[in-house]
Amino acid sequence: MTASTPGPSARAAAPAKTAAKKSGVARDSATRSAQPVGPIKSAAKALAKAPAKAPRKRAPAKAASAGTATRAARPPRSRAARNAPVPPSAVPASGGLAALRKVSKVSVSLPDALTRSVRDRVRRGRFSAYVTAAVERQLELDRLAELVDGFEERLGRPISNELMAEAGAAWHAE
Amino acid sequence: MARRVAAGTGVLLLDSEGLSKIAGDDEWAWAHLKQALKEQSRVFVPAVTLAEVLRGGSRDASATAFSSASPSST
Repeated sequence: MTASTPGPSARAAAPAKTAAKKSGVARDSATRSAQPVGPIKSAAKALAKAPAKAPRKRAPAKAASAGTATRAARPPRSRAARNAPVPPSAVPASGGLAALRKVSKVSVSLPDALTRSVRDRVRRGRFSAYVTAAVERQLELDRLAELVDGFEERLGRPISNELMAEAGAAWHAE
Repeated sequence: MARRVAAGTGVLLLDSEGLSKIAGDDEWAWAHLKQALKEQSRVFVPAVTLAEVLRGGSRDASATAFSSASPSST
């Protein structure tokens, strides 16, 4: 039986609690006056010991089973939350601290020819570093493109050709 | 061992005026940024520039937004 499934004593305790509620008697006095016998005795004791302002989730059935309350307080992250995309701002920019970053192992499929080309170029054990550099570079370009797109959206039109020509001339000037 | 060459040519290094203009949506400055993208160049915002431009006020919002999302900061 799992921890979340109420046991027979808990099921038996439920009617006693309902009856106390209906009669309008306070919970503590109800449990004292009910004088539980047999299987419901332990559950009733737990009810009497429970704090007055305990949330409804911590009913006698769950309070009686150790560990359930802790699990209910911190539910595990859902699959959707774990697989949610990381916002661009959360990805650290490239820099000298790259070596100190926490790494995770991923499985990536690459064409054979591409894999051979990279292996020919890098030393043993440096494949990941090569791929990391390439991915960082691509992320930089993607972020820059998003920034420019955002500006043009705010502007309501693309950046004028005259200004682009001027920028191009300045870029290629000696 | 074959030589490794960084993609793109040149670097766009933003000084305080450049960052301020970009934060202020100056089209001329953004044209240079777009040109850098076209050339697949790196864009750097030095830490000292951030120290110059950011004052801790609400006006910093756009500069902060750019520098946090900027391709490279050093």
